[in-house]
Amino acid sequence: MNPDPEVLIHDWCRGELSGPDRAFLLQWLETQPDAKRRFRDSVIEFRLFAQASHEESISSRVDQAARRNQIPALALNWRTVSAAAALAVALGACAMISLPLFKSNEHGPAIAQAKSQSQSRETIVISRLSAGAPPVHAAMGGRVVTIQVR
Amino acid sequence: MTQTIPAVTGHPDRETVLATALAGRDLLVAYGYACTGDWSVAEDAVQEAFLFAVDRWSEVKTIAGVLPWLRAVVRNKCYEIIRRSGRHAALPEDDRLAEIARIALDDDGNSSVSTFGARRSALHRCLSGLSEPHRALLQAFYWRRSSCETLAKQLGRSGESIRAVIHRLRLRLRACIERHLVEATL
Repeated sequence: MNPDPEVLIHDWCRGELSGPDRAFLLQWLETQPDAKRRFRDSVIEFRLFAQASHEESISSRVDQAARRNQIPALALNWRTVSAAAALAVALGACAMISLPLFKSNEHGPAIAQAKSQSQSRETIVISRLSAGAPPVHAAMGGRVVTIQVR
Repeated sequence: MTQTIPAVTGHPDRETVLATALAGRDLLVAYGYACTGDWSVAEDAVQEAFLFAVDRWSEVKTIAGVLPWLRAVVRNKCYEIIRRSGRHAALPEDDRLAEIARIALDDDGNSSVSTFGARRSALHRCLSGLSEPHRALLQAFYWRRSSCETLAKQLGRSGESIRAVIHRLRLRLRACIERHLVEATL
């Protein structure tokens, strides 16, 4: 039985497509009408699922911490941050400080700096997206969020 | 956070350009993946493209031109990042699948953006209808990119059964999203 092309597309998005499956998928793309649109839709769907899965994960952790009346301790990869920052701010869990744009390989020092500046038990949400985009957020009428410490 | 493209004709202002950029973020990241084969690099590139847009937004002449302009910026940023990291070999220039994905996403224009926010909201509602183990499985598969074999070992099942469960969940979520989108239009 032939594999499901949309499953294979998600495998490609995960970087896990084997040689024979790649050949099958290419043949499908070249021969099936509407295949390219389905390919595009599946790539977009993968991104949607991956991002939503992660946002669910963060949301769950923040909820659990809130139920325990604790400040959620999140040390996050920068990829996660938009969702985390939005949730944390919405929950009133964080005050804010600003740091300039930093790169992912500079997270360690940035976290250490933020911790050293905090006078209390802290929760830190690292937001590379937000850190780099204060003007964007400001233009959107949003709050400028970079690193949030409480 | 759901964002929609503002309905603007003529030369867009700064706020409109940036709002359109943010609304198209996930599509731009998907495009970046097609350029690099690496989601992390793609997200870096989109981030850098947004910073570029903050300074150079006035180069865009029409609202419809925002995302095509940003796709070109993302592509350049992807290659810059990869060059800086010395990973020339990772560029999927000669990868036919990646090329097809790039072309397909380029052809999309702005059409997917208009429904993306609604799809995302619907997906969150649909995910909340799944059991905790199923949500955890999807998180492991889609976000942490655990392989089916790894998940099978953890859960004491076969790789094929894990793959089948994920496939069923995907179909269920897809149907649920479509249902929500239809309900939203009624």
